[in-house]
Amino acid sequence: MGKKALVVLAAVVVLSLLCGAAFADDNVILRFVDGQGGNDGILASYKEIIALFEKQNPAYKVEYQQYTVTTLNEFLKPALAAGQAPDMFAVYAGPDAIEMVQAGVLVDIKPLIDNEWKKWLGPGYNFKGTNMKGGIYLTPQDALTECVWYHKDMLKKLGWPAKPFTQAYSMEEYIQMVGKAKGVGLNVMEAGFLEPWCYFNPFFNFVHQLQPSESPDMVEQAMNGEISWKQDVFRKPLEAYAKMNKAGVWRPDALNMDYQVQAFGKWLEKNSIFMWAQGDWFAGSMKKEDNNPQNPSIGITQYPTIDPKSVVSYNKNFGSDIGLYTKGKNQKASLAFMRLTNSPQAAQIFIRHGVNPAAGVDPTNVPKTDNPVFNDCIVLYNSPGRFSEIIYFNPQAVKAIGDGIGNVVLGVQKPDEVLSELDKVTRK
Amino acid sequence: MQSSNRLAAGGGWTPYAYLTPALLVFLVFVFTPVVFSLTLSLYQFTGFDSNLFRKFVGAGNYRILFADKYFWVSIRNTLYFVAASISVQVAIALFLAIIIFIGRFRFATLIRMIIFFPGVLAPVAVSLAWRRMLEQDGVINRILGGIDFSWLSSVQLAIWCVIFVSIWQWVGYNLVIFYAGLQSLDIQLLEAADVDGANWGVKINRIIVPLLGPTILLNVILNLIGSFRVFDIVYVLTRGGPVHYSEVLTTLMYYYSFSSNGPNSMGVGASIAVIIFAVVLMLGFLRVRLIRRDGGAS
Repeated sequence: MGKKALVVLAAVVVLSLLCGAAFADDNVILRFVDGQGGNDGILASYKEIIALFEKQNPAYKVEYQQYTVTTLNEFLKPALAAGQAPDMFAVYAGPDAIEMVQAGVLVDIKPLIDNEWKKWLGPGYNFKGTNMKGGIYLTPQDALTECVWYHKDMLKKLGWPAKPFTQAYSMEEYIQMVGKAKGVGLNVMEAGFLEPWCYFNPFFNFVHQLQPSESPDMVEQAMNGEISWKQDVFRKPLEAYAKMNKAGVWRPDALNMDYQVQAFGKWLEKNSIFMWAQGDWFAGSMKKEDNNPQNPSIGITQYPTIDPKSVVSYNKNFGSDIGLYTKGKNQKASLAFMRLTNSPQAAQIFIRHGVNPAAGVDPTNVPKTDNPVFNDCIVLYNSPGRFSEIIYFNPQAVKAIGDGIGNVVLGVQKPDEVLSELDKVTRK
Repeated sequence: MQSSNRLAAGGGWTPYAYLTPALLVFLVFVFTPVVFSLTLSLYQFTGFDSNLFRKFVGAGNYRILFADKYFWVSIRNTLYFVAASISVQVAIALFLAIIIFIGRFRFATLIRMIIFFPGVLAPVAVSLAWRRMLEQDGVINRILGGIDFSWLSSVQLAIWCVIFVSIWQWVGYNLVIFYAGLQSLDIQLLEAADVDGANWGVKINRIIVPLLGPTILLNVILNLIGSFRVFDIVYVLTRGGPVHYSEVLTTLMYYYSFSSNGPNSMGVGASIAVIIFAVVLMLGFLRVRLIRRDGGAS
């Protein structure tokens, strides 16, 4: 009886496998992952773009998976190490990107970008973050302006005048706001410093404010060991961080919050007036009641000026970028998908969902949407002004800057100690 | 005894056939990863390459690690964790177990359940709840009179908050083990002490605690091993911050291996794993020796 049961069971298993194989999808699956978890605008955009691609290429299906900034590498590194990475994956420009290029996991797509695609890319073709070692290894998806956002109604309650979004409040103004805000039961600023880019991106902005001119980029020079970090142009930004922290511009909790979920979530709930290191990647995630044509209540202002001689600078760049896996089995089709994400059709889809597209549009002629803060971001992105680079390729120096700023803010180290450590890292 | 002799005598390869599945699992899921990590710790590997063993650096990763001031911070914090869990956590659990055992309260079972309950919750859920409570506008500050202090952003206090949460969660687990030990005590010894006029202090110090020696040792060793491997509570509560001042060895290993904007050095991460493994292995041997010695003595 036992043997009979085993035979029947085996037959059932074999039959199910055969049936499964018979009904298996004939489509080729292209796998694509990014780190935009929580960004509803990007999610909605890619759903539509994928549908468009699948309509144009019926033999293919695209499987898209979102991770977060912190979890993307947890997935991607084991996948790359095992030689099983997705056909396309997001890469943050900077140290991660250059290391991937050196490891040989990204295809140089420069020879594969045709003239039409190059035209769509516009300035994105020469984007520092994607151009490495003489090739182009990534294609940018979304453009960004990174600065400080605020709730207009809360600022009004504080009795503080709003400024045009191309301008900035000074550090002293933020410090003055702290006392006033306490008086009316408000907090000034949310920040998520557990994500170190919230330290070093604004730091770069502060340095670029103080430079005699937009170029040469003194951060780049210092990263390359050409100049010493021990000078006022780097010292003053560190002192500014310490001063603003001591004054309570952001609450101490900011030192132990991440940006993407905790700090941003609190700011959305109007816990504070301003949101540090905020950008148009979240334009599609604003609450409708605070961000509609009848009530455009989300304002933008630039990173604070930290010195009377500061020139207001703009952190404008491209956000997430996607690369083509060298061991992917479907490179031709994947490249076609990547090309589509930079097309004018895709750009309209991105815009409709409040995402600033990196390519496919005339940047000075982006159609207005019913998302007021997104419209402001587009105008800001195309406004003239001093450019502040945020992409650098020296991972040890970037790490040391992030940790160093944190230590100065915590009072564990003095600015000159941090600058000496930076000199050791870059000028050995 | 007789049956195992019979197997050995007449079984041939049969005993090994029974052992093979367990040995295979051990080989695949324990031995191979350990050897792999040890080897990887000798190579420079960012994690982005499919050729893990491209660049041999020997002890280079260990040199990087020992030169990193946050490695020593993580060692210090891990030792704090260990010390607190083998002393404070065990002492609280022992104290509560004795009180409940001696007191013979009406709702002793319910009390034990309540104390044990945090131990069955997922550490991530516990950490998220405590994180909210420890925020500046959290319930802890309100209970303390509305103070405006950020516990988890304090360089000095962040790690102690993490340790507190860990003790809160796991003291019940130790209590259950102690209670089981107490229930196995020969009650006649306590009755005899009663007859001799011993008070509760004497009974606890001279009878109960010494007889609970093996149970205490078991709890100490379990806590030692567990506290060396703690990750989830630290990661969710502080992610090793502010900056890296509440890192423990496991979170530092994660930082080196996976953190975005981090060092991208899985070779160094593997070095930390080797260090943790070596310590836990030593503790395992110590436990076996102590148990054998105790078994010989009894």
